[in-house]
Amino acid sequence: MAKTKVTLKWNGSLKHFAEGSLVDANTAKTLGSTVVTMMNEAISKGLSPVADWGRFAKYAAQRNVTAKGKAGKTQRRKYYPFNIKPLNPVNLKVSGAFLNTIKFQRTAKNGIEVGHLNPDDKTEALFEAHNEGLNKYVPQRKYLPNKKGELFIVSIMRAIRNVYSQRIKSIINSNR
Amino acid sequence: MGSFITEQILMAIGDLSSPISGRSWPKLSKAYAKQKAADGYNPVADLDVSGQLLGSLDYKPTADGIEVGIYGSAAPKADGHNNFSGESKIPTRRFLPSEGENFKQTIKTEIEKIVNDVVAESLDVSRKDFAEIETQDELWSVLKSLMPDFSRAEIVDSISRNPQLAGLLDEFNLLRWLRPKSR
Repeated sequence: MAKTKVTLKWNGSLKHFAEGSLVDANTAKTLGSTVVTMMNEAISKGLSPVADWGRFAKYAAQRNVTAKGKAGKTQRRKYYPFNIKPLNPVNLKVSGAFLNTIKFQRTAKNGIEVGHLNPDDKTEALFEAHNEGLNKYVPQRKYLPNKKGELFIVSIMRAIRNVYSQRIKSIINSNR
Repeated sequence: MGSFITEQILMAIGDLSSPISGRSWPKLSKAYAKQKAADGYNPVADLDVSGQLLGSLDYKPTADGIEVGIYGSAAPKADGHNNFSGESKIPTRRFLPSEGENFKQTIKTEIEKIVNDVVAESLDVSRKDFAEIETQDELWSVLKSLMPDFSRAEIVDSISRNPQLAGLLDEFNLLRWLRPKSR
């Protein structure tokens, strides 16, 4: 089964300086909330948070169903709430319950995990459809870089780097 | 840098604001908003109907930097919104800076950091540059010689954002000397 979460940790060694304390509870919280917030922000705008994926594939044309007898007039399919779900942006959201399961937690090894931490069956099915492209009726719309070599978009990677930077500078400026 | 800039432009457009001024854009006219909603689209000024315009936002490296823009057949649409030609009849919703303009401060600041980080990552440094250092002054002398165009704050920033450089200084227990001297 594909990984539903990714691990982020400082990519280096700081043995004298902060080993074991670089990602303290506060930093983990800042890092995690930054990543989750920015993921949701990108998704809400139809932009994949995964590098090199760009904007999400548009909803299929069959979302616009020609009403009987009125050529060219469009009407949304009945299972998409009318006036709540426009055709754009493609934001993986109807009620918001699925995206609300994207969370973070601190790990024992100086980092955090981000993603669907304990997905139920429904969340897993949606994850496999959107992120993994395993549902033939749904275009793949990747939002979690869970494969080797995949990264978040540059804006998120820069934000991660800045959180670590702030932590290191605060340790430099402390009395340690 | 090109990826960062295009992402930030798309994020700002999604916020219905200019990545240059930071201010919200003029809203759609009531008539057009109604039309957009009737066609199933978001009735806001998100520059997104077919997806062609935003899908054509891209960047290219140039001799002295990068060029960001809308390429191909969507270019006239881009001018409709940015009005560089001065001939557009629709409200200006600028998402590309014209000559003399710059991106908003948050984007500009991060671009400057990216440039500094690239400089720091390209430094030819090794253990021998730091192995003999015994005082804080010696450390700063070496760092200033490696990054002569950086202020002290920028040097600390760049090191704190560079795991390899930070690890190299840490190996000789030198990171503690990046702290400003006590008065």
